[in-house]
Amino acid sequence: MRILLADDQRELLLLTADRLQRAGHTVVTAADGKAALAEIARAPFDIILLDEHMPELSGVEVLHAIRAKESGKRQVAIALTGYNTEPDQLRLLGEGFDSVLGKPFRLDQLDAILRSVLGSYALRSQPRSPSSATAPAGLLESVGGDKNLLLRMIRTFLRDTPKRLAQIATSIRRNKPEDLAAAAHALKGSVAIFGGNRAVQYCQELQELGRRRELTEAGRAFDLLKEEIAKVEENLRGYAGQTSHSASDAPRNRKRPGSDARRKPR
Amino acid sequence: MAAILVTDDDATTRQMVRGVLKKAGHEVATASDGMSALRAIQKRKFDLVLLDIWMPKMTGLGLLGHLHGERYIPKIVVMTSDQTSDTLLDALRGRVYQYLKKPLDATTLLTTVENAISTSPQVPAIEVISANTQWVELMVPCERSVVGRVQSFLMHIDVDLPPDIIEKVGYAFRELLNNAIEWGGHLDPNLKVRVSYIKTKKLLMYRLDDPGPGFRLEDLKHAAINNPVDNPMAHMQEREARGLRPGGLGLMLSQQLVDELVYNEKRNSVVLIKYL
Repeated sequence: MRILLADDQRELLLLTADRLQRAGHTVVTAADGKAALAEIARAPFDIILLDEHMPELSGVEVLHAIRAKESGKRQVAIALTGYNTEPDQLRLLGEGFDSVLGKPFRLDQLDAILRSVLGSYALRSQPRSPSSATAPAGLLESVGGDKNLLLRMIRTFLRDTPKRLAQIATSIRRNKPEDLAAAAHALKGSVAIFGGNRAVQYCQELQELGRRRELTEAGRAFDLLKEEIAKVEENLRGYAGQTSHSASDAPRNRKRPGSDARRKPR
Repeated sequence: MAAILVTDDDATTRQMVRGVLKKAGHEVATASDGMSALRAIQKRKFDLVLLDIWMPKMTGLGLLGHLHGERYIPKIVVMTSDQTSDTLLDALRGRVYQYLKKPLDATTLLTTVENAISTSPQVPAIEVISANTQWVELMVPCERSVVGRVQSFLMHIDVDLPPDIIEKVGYAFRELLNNAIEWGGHLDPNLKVRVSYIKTKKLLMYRLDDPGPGFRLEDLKHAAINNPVDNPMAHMQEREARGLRPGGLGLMLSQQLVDELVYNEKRNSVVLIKYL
């Protein structure tokens, strides 16, 4: 979920951003109303949290600006306010906020309000098909939004991963625990970038087996790792193909699935 | 713009870090193992080295050992996915500037790099008094950037604790260290705050001793903790009148986040405890 958090109180901004990031969200922060509007104009957000009193533009003014331009999908917006009496809440809901959170708030209050808003969000939005070739959530943001850099990284990953897997296979076959730990660690580093959580877990397992010099279980973990890596690779190939197709900036990736298919026996 | 050396044996990681830093305008060199990183550092002056720990030929920690005798040592940020306590404590002893957890993301990477290169080299180093997994004790200079740095190490020692405990304690610790540095040490890098971290089976404890004379709680009109019941915004008016940055919720939030928060008589030493 992409969340905008706008508040001029730095501690609250940091604490809340940290909380949301740990829950797996992508958080963009703004210290005043003008900056908040600029962020919204740059890219859409699933939820925005706006402080009522901010320099430049107040939370209400920001929300009015958003609502004025809204057509179709409604922006989910939560007000953060220091004045959290019932009349204040009603006033802010009347201004067009979906929910109101009084400051200072406890972390569990934030959790509860997000859960309720996220719940209603989930009902409104279309579920995504897990099998479609999408980059793991936040991947493009994790590289600063640079699509070409991401495509180059994917190419490097697809180029290097078979070598790393071969190193792991050799180290198990030749009973070399140090080599196994090193190769599994190296692969773990790159696969973690692309969010292959299970693959990371199996790399970790192989790395620990290597460090403990216990290779009897390594073959089983390696088989599981190969399966997971194949999924990550497939997903990335699909993403690279689609992205380079739409961006028409990396035509080499588009040929890859086709040329692979041609090599398959019929 | 800074000259930065990125050292990692994984090509994808090197490519990512290099790409993000170059786009931000930095000059970036790369090395794929500890040995070639050492050669690169000896050959030219880097402002910052981003260092992976587990690499072939020479580990990042091995490299730190080799740098010990060098006349010029660049600032070093360690990046690793294996945040074992021993690795972190070795990095801390090796005078590593900050610790960065993998997988990396562009925002954290850039923030850490900008902080590291903007900190003056004149700021005294963090002095390590004790560094075992149960007792870490540090003398830290009263300078803003030190808060994030100390936290990057201490908050990752306890990887086994539930994330919400790490987060709550982390927030309270950050607030108290900020107060100690700002109010106790007046942001004078030559003054030091003693930071102790102690972990037992049942509790996690931090103690901060600041170099200031202490304070009286009733004098903290700028903090929300002292607001009268009928005026929850009193501290904000006070801060505005005194030209202070917006804030003042720290002490109150901290008190809610940990189990015990105890001050000494002068209030220049504070202990925070979270029961496990």
